[in-house]
Amino acid sequence: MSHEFTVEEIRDAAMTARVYCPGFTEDMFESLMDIEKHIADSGYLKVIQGLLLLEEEKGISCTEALDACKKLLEQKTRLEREVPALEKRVESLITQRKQTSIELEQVKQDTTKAGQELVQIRSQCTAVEKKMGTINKKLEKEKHRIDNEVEECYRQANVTKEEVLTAGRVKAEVESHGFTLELMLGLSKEFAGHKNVRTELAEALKEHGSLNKHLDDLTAWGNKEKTRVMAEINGLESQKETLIGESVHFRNVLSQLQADIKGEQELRRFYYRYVAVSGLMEHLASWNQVFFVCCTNPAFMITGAFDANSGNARFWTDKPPSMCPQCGYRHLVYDERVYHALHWPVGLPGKLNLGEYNAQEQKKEGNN
Amino acid sequence: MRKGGQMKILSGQQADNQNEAVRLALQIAGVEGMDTYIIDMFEALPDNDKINAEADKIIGSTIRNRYGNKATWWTERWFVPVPKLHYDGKDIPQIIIEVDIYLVAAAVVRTQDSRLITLAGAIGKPETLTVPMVFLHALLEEDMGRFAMVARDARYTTWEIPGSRPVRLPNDFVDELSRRLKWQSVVSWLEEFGSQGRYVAPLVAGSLLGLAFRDSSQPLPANKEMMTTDSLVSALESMAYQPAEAKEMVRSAAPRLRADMTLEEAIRITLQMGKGGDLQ
Repeated sequence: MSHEFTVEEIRDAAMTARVYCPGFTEDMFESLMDIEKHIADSGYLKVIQGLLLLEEEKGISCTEALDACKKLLEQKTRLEREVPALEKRVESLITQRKQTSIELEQVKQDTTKAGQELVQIRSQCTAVEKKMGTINKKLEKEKHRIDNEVEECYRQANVTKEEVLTAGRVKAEVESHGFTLELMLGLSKEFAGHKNVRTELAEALKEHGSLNKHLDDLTAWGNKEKTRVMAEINGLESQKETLIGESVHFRNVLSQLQADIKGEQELRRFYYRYVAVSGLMEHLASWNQVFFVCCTNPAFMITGAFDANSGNARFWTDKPPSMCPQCGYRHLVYDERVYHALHWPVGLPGKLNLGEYNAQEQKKEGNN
Repeated sequence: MRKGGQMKILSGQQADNQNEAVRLALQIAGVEGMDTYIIDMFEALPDNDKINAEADKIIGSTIRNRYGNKATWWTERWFVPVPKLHYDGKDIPQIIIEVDIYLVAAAVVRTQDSRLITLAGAIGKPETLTVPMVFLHALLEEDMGRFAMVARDARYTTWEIPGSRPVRLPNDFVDELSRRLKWQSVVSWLEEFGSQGRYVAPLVAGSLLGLAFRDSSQPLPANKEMMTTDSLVSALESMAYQPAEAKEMVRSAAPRLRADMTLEEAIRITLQMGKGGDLQ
């Protein structure tokens, strides 16, 4: 409140308060005013706060506060005496702490350095491991390639590994008996193709007396047999050439006959198609000149668009045309399609010539 | 509604801004020591459209009455809400604030020549705000939930107050009052009303203290309970007197009764006066 109530105002306030609180007195109002003043004094609040803290922290009630304060002051004096020793202790601890910090810093630096070296070694190890991996891969690849080559060699030699091993054992066995492998292979060739080599060899020795004589006889028989077979082959080849020549001749004859048949069919088709109008052709050929004409009357052009039979008239004449014989129209044109079919210049008066089958052509046919 | 003739015409331009208009309005209203912060609390009260229309009418009629129908004018105007404070403890203790809107208009009037005048006076119907002590106490305690809100719009809210008529207050006023009471006391706030606030402050403070200590105090016996008219009438009614009879007895004994009497003493005096006796 910014101003204090007077006595009368306090009495009025207390009376008004009694409307709601019948026990409210002026003393209560004044005590409230006092409390307000105390609250306005920050020192008062601090004392109250201190007492409350004392009670909360030390469990000392307000009434015992003074005794407690005395004890605390004594304790304070005692503690103050201990302060210099504690300060020295603090200084020593600070120095120790500084020393420890320096050592810690040194250890940290060493650790960092060792860490960096470790990282470097690790990176080197990684590089070496990578290199080893690459070399291992190359070795594997090389081994694989060599294996493939060996397999290819086996394949090209048409042998298997087991066969090679067997050959090795055979060579060792042969050499143990004082022979060479080449000698044994030569002997094998000698006996190849004979079913019962041992029996045959025994019989041959019995018949020819020796193995060399038997071989010479066999060679002579083989040469004679070869000569005979070659003569037979030559005879068969000459027969084959004769037959090939005859075959070519008959093929030519057959082609000529097929062409003749085609020509005859064409002549027949022509005859049946044009024999009926040969009279007309003969009649036209008797004219000295012939004109193929077409009327251009526009009226018939229009009607001709709807009906071909009602179109413009076409007509042939042996005189130069002057008017349409059908409608009397005087503007006429030459029928170009006819001239083109006959290979004649359009409008040129021409005579129709029919072909003749003469002796010269008959002779040409006979030659063919 | 006040008539236009009540506007005062002052020569010269007496106000040039809102602060000067407030000073002039308070001077004309005869209010002393009122802080402008209090004026700010009621600024949202006037209905601007309505009050402007009314101001136009009053300014026009005042100038024409004074300077004739041919006079023309140009005005600059300000509206100043001026509160008047009462404390009423009749039925239920409450503060009553009657707010008059004062118009202050600086006008240039042209007739044959030009002159500067200032018009000042209350216009419109005064608005009455009733703040029961229980309501104010609830505001202080931030316990508005104890009152049921029965109506509300953009400007006003109506609360149901037990034992009294519903209270309708402007929202802006309640918000501002609630905000102010967070950092200043009620008495300090009342003192901003000037002398009228200082007069009602003890009663308001007493009521609020009574409300604050109501629950903690022990019920008093009748021989110690302080007398009020209502409690005295109630006590007589409980003695089988009719209400009208009890009130008449209290009225008769009134010259002898004192507000600082105990209820027991007041009953005794009233009964003695009712019997036609006189105090010894």
